[in-house]
Amino acid sequence: MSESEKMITLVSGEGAEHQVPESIISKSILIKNFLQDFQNDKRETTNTKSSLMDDINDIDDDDEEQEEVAQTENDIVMPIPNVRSSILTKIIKWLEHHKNDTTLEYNNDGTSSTSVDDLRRTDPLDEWDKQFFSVNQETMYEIILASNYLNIPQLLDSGCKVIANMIRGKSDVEIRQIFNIEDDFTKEEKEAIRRENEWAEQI
Amino acid sequence: MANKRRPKKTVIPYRKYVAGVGYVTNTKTVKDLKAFNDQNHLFDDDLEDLSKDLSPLSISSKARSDHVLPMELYAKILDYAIDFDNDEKFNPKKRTQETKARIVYKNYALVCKAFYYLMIPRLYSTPHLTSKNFLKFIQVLDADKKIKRNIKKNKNDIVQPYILSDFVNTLDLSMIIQSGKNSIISKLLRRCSANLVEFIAPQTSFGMLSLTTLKSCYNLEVLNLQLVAEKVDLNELFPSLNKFKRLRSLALPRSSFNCDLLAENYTLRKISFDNDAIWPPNLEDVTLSGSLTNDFIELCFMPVNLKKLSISHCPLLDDVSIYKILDRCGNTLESIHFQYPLTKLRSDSLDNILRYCSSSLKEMSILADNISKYFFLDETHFAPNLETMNIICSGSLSQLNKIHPDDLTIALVENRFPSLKTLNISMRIGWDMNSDDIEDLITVFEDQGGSIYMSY
Amino acid sequence: MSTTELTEESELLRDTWNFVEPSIKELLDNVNMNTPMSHVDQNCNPALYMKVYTCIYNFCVQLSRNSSNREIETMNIVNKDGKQDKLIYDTSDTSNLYMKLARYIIDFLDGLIPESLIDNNDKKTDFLNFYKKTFPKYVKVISTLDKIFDYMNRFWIESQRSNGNPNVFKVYQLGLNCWRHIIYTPNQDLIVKMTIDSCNEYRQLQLEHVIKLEEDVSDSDVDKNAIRKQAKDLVQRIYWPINSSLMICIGPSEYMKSTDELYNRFRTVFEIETQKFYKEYSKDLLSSKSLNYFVKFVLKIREFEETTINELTKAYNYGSLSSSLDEVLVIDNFERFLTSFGDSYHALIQKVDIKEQASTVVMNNSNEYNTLVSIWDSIKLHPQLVHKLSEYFGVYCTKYCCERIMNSVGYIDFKDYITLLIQLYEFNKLLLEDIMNLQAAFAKVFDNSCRNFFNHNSFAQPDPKEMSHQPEILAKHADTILKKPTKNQSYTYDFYKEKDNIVILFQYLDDKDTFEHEYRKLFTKRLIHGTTRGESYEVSLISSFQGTNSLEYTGKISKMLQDITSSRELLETKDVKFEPSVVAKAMWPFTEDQQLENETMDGVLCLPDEMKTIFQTFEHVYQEQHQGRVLNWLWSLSKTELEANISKPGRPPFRFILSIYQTMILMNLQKTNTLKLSDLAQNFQMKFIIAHLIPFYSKKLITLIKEDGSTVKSIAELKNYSEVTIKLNVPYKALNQSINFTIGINMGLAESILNGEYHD
Repeated sequence: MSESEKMITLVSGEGAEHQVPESIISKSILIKNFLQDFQNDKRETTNTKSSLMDDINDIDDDDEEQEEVAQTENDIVMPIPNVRSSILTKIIKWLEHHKNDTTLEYNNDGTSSTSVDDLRRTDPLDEWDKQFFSVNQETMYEIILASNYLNIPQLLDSGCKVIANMIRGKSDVEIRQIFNIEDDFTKEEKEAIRRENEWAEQI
Repeated sequence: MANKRRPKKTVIPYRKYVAGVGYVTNTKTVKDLKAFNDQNHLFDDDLEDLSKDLSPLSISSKARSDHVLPMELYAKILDYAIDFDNDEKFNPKKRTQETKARIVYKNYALVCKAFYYLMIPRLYSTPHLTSKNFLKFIQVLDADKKIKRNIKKNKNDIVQPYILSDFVNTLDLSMIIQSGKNSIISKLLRRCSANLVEFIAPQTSFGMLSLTTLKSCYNLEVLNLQLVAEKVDLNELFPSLNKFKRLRSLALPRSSFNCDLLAENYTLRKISFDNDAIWPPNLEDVTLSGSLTNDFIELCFMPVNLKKLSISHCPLLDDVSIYKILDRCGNTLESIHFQYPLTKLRSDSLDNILRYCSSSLKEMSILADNISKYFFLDETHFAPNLETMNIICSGSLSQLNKIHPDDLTIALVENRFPSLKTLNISMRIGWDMNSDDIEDLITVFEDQGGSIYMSY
Repeated sequence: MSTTELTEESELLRDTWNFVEPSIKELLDNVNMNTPMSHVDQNCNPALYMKVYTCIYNFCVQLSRNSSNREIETMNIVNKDGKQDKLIYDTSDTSNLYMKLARYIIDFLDGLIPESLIDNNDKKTDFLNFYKKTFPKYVKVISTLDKIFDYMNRFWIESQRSNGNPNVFKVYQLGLNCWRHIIYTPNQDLIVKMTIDSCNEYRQLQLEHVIKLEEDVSDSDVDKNAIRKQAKDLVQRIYWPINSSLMICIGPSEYMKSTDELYNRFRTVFEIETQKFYKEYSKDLLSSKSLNYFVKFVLKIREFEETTINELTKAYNYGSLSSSLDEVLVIDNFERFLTSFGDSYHALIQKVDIKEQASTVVMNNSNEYNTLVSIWDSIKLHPQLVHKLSEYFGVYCTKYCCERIMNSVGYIDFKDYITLLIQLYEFNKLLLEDIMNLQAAFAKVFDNSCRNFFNHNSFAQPDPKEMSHQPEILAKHADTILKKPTKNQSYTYDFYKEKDNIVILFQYLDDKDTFEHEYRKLFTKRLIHGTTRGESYEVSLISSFQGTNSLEYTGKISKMLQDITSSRELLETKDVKFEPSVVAKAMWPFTEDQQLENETMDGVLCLPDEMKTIFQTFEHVYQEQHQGRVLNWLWSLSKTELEANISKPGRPPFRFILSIYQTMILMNLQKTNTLKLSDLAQNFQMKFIIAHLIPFYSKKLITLIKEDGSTVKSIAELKNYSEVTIKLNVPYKALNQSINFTIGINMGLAESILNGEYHD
């Protein structure tokens, strides 16, 4: 990338603008997809493809006026209506901290190959992330939701791992509290489920 | 303007925290809108629509029954929790590939109904089965089936109730010992046949009946019959295997009837096979064992495109057959394993296997009983991408000191295993661990970034 | 694709759809023939992107958050057999949204095809034109849609698919699938046919106007621009249908795609048509142009197919197209290729000249050379053809090389002959290296041919019934370069270059034994007479023989050399310099004659006293060192250097180089000045004496006086040797200060004198 890195403007739900370097925000696959497909596309094709490919892609009729769209280097302004400013700030902080991480190969839709999947699962939670998520639960959920929304797999993984650790070994009552969930079983139902799955704990 | 097409006055499920000039309807950019602002066009028709459109829809306004997170995230979290529960001392380098069975705590299912439904596939996909809970497990599946069948009869409006046995993807019965009749295993297989992907047969109670039932598991990808103690008739097994289009991994039973009949039937076309191939078409991983004969290898070509090949307990195969196999599939192999006893092999029969393997080879286990030092000393033996090498030894008398640590050291110094990082050596090979030769080997190997493990 | 009618819609779904639909419409509306591509590229801005994405996201999350248990339960439904054609969707809103989208796309595509255009023949407006203009845009748009519906892709569709519902696709694939069913399949035959027509038209255009050989004159009256324009249109007409036919095959992997019936159909037809086209084309070309032209043109065609057409049809596995191409272009015409190959090769061989570097013939890129390159390039990927060609090459090589040598017989001496052989060898080798990259098959054949034409050509073997003289010629050549040049000459040979040449020729020599024998003979001469250029040179050549043959082969030769060097160290005395050469008898090829001589003059006994002691000491030392060995003196090969003070007073003494006999004669004359021949005959055979006397006589060192006091006028008179007395001419008048009397010793002459057969 060029020395003066391209900045992306993110507009939070409240309308506040956040300037983020492109390389950092590219961890969000949602935004990366957009940048790749709709912004850089044009430049890439003209540079690297052969003249044959130019011919192939230039499907417009010649007699038609080629309106040379002056590629005004508009700053890209991405509205992020689902995320509040305070959360966006936190996420940017996380992105900056992790900007030098060796990025695992994610497919563009956020899934990954099985080998990477293994790594994702086994990757221990790093201390910084643990610290990062030690906030009140509401904020934590909001971060997780936002990372899900922006499709930032690493952050989402970290968040889910933090919560997974919270519920491990807890009783159903405790888990309900953590998630603020109502108990919608009747006593009989519960008993039935217990019986049904009894085998799973007789090892 | 393009957005004129948009029907007006629709309430959209589009949450917005603060109204303002941040958002645009269709193609307008923020800047454009700002320009509008300056010209006091703020109450332009479109914008008016916009602000109405974007009337807030916040979570808090929803009913209490709403969950904090969407189900897909709960699912993710539960997956992690289950992973953590099972992998307390997780060691990614030493994964036990054989069993994927998982222990799952039922507390997660008791949280609420939503959790219960999320947990059901997770509970049943890879059940952790032992002799203790095996019968109970079958009972649950049985009962469930009966209940669901009745429900279906009674209430027509339920399209398709789920059945617990449909969730079972992996059946690992390696821990089941002496727990009953053949019919039980067969019944279990039949119940789970629809979605069974991986099956590891138990040591006992796997008879003809089960073999027949196995045919209905057409989605099978992994089939491991290695533990089966009863003699298996390959003549029965292969015709049914051939139907498994998705089968990737196959381990043949340790004991089987002599398969010459099968080879004969095959060559005389007495049994018909799809595409004339005796092996399932998409195999990648094969463990050969049992009474496979040289004739069988000769007549029934191994599948091509194998990635992993293990040969163990093959008392009838000689080195010609082994090289025949390698000649056919050595090129694609990434991993090759030999396990004793391979009684028909001579003491240097396996010396040349590296010639048959290509640069794709990453892992190998070799029997010290069947290689001589020339396996290491021959300069044409070169494995550029070999990462792991296991040297196994039966420890029988004549095998001691057949290979000297120096042989290995020389091969390493000559850079013939440049990628080798892990070396597992059986203690039974009889090396003096404190000798200088071993020290040399360790020094040379550590320079290459590798480490040696001694095992029993 | 069958779709179930939506029953009831929730308010949420309706709202969402109503909100999203205009955006989808806006995007899809770009897919038509008139919107420029650049516009489609830009059709999505951040705001639109985020707006729709957010909407879909909220929709999905909203549903999932307060989903009823019923809905989660249905999430778990596993589609048991996966075989059903009907889509089994759960009735959740998400699936309804998906259905709405699918329905919308289908409806859109339905309206897209301009019905009137399908049967239109005008290229500007025909179906393919429509196709190539809309498909790329459509792909672009649905990939945008895919991104926008990302959240739905990620969770809902993913879970549907993993539950065994293979008929739910990600949005992008859904779009492609719709295209397949609505646009492609109904018009499949038309598309395939038109595409192939376009492709052939494109080939024709390129072959006629664009692809040219150097020798073609460029026709300037063609409007290049028009061709370019036409080509561009055709390129698009080929690329998009073909590419789309692969893209719309939806399978989990590339491999699965390639098994799709639709794709394979296109591919098969395409291959058949390609073959057909080129079969026709090559027939035409062959009837109008020369064979060489054809060969080169085929290469151009292949290059064109491999680059341009391959690029256009990348969707296909190129290998099979290439093989079907070759079948028509190369294999069917292989016989022609062979003929052309032979002719060009022949022409090149004729150019080989002893005065020119072989490389210049090869390198100067003549027409013939280029033909060879073209032929090779066309067949090199076919092992059988390569094999065949190599066989032919062997035949040609032997034949034409022999012919080339035959043409020169009579003009060249043996040196030129050697040079010619080397030139031919170099030429062929360069050719093989440059063109065939020295493939194993060729190397082998070439070796055989070399053996053939080196040994059996009209120079070395003028009469085919006799043995080839090649070994003798080669040994002689080796001798030439290893001999010390005579006085006035300087070394004319670059030894190391010549040595390499000899080694090459030696390698291919058939009768190596004869050569060895011949070589040893000449080698002995060089050693004994000291005419060798230098021991290091000898060693170097011998060791290269060793390298190419075996240690045993050169065993004798190297032992000879060893003898010479080792015996020098054996003995040295003070006043008389003594250089014995102790050699192992069996190794040296001494002639019968010399051996006979050894026996006659047995013993050191009859030697003059001055020398006797030296020999005796040596014999003594030798026996001490090597017990049991028989020591034979080879008198005839010995040489002495003598200082004779018989010049005029005041002049320096002469230096004579003498044989041992001559030394003895002179020694005897030292005291008496005259000597009766009959005295000498007591110890030696007369014929040796006479043979050794003649040089004295002819150089006037001695006068021969008969009994009657008259001098002998002719050496024929020596028949009656008993009457002859030798008189030393003192002072000796000779111009040279050092005289070599060993020259001119002729045993045959002496014998004929004694038999009275000699006359002047």
